[in-house]
Amino acid sequence: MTVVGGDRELARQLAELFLEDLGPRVTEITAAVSALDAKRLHAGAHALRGSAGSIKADIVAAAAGVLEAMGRASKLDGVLRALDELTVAVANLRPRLVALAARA
Amino acid sequence: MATVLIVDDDRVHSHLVAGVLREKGHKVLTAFDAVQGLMQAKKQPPVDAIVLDINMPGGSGEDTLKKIKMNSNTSNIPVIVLSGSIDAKGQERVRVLGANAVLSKPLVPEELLTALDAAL
Repeated sequence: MTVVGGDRELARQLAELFLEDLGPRVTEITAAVSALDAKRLHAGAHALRGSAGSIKADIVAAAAGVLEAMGRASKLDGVLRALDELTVAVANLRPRLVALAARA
Repeated sequence: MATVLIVDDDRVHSHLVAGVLREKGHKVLTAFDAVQGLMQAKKQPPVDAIVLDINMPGGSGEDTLKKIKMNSNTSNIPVIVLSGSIDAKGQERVRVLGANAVLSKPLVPEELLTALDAAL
């Protein structure tokens, strides 16, 4: 987390906050996709993209950005594949953040 | 050192901005939506600067900026807009509304600190 300039405690706090919000954010995106609700998808994916961008979780941010763009354009072709990609990106990121958040 | 109000619904980003500002010795207040932000901005003594997200629930950042600049208690407070989704027209609008600087998310700490120094 280079953005915090070596401040380990701030990095730990950011990881903890991000993890707390991650589940609800992914749940919201998944619900929006299930409902084919473009507006809701745009809002939910925008929130996750911003938050992931803040901690330089670039792969998650990019995957959320794809869903955000689909929602903004109300073009949901391929949305399930995009959701899968987000799910994989989140699954890859989560253990690293859990480890970071657990550091004393 | 300044007292800075951060108005941002993304608490991860808000915490990051707060950390950067505290590291430089600034005092930080936070609000997580536009309504809270306006209430905090109107409190006395006034804050020295506001870092404002432009895309929030409870009223857009542009509305919030307009209200800050129209209220005699807050109109002189410098406002730095931070946004992950503002286009050139949006940037122009918030500058016309009175934003001192418009910065993009994700945060680049040096950009924020430079903008804050210039605004104070």
